[in-house]
Amino acid sequence: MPFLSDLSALSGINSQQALMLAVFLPFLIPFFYFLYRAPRSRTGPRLRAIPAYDSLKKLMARAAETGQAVHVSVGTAGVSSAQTADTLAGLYTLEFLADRAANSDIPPLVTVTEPTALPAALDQLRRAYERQGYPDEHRVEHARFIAPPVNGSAVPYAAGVMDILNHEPVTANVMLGAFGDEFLLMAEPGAQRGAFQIGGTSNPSVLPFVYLTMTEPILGEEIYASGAYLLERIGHYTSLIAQDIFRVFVVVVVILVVIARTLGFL
Amino acid sequence: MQPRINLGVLLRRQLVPVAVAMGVGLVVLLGQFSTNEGLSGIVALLIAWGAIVAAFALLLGLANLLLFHTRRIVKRDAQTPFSILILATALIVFLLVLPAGGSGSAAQWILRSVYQPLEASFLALLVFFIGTAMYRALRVRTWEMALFALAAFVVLVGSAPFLQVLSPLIPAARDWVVNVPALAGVRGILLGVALGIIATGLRLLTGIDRPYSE
Repeated sequence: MPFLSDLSALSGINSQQALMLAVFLPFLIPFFYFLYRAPRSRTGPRLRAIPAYDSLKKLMARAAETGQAVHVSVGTAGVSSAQTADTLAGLYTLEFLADRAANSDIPPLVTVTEPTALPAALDQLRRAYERQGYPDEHRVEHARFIAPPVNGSAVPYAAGVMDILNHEPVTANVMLGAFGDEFLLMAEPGAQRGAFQIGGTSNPSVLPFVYLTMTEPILGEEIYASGAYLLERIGHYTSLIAQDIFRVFVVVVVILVVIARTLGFL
Repeated sequence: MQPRINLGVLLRRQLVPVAVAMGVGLVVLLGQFSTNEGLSGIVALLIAWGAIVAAFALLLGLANLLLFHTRRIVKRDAQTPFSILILATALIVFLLVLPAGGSGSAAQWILRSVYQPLEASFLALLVFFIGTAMYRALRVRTWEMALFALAAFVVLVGSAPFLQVLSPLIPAARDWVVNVPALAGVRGILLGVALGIIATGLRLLTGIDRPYSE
């Protein structure tokens, strides 16, 4: 694009970096504007219903009724890769569930494969028990390291999770984060038994597996809304509003460019 | 009476982690948009430190694994034999790989002759799982599932070489499904995902979101 080339020449950065800035900087405007407005707003934001998050809110009651744990997977990526945002979405869900679990006798059963996700998951659990006033109830084995990825493959982890879901008393399976094809290996046995499963990922090639196996699927970017729907924090709400505004802006730009190209202006 | 603020705890649990995370995040982000060699050096150093910290996380994982299975062996529950097997396997592999490291002949032999056949066999289960998942989808009579099954059928038939010779329309239909509606959907999803990642990164950079501190 000529504009980006001009910007590159002026600033000394390449066109790829200029494109990144062109996307990143305009995003700051709605983000900070709504962050400034949010505490002054009399009415809270109205979010469209996502059934999976509604079900997550009732999940720990189900665990308490059945006396069985909820299995939580925060995905196969850790907190030091390009998929950190997906892992964080899983960690927000874990934070929500752990807060409720700390008030019951049924801790969640968390499994991880990427080593960097283990301290993050353990920390979420520890803080949840501290917040609820039961720091002594927290156990290191509430989060289990199953197996590290081998050459980028999480198949050993999938084997371990399959075993847990098949042999341990688990009332529901929650899988939210970055996943590959191994998602189906972990989710299908539960789906065949009719187990209650909530899960999602941002990887488009895995979404058919999510749709087919999950009782309540969370598709694509919906996973990044976990903080806003479950934790209900202002920062998460404002980023969600900024995303929606920016999405509309990008869609309008795409449509205008298509029209302009069709008419021969570009 | 106002509750007393413990400055030491506040510093240790909130201010220092937030300052470190924001500072490191901003420096690495600036490094993406700068050609300054000094800044690039600092960014490379910070990323290397991150890799070292991540390597220590693996030790933590190993400790977690050992602790969990040792406790299960002590408790003698129904899964005890499998815990013994896991610990024995971990010890044997560790002893075999220790002398020459991960790139040594022992490690490579274990990878090629033990791990890869097991992984391939396990992944082969996907074929049956896809079949059962599709069968279940066909039993759910909603229009979304009907579209889903139709798209899957067109792509499956269009990808089978022996059916492609019957009519040129079969691979053409497959190409249309893959390149038009599927690609449009994927691009829409990726647009939302990109915005979600930017928003998550921005919350972390500005300290609004602090998953690492109280």
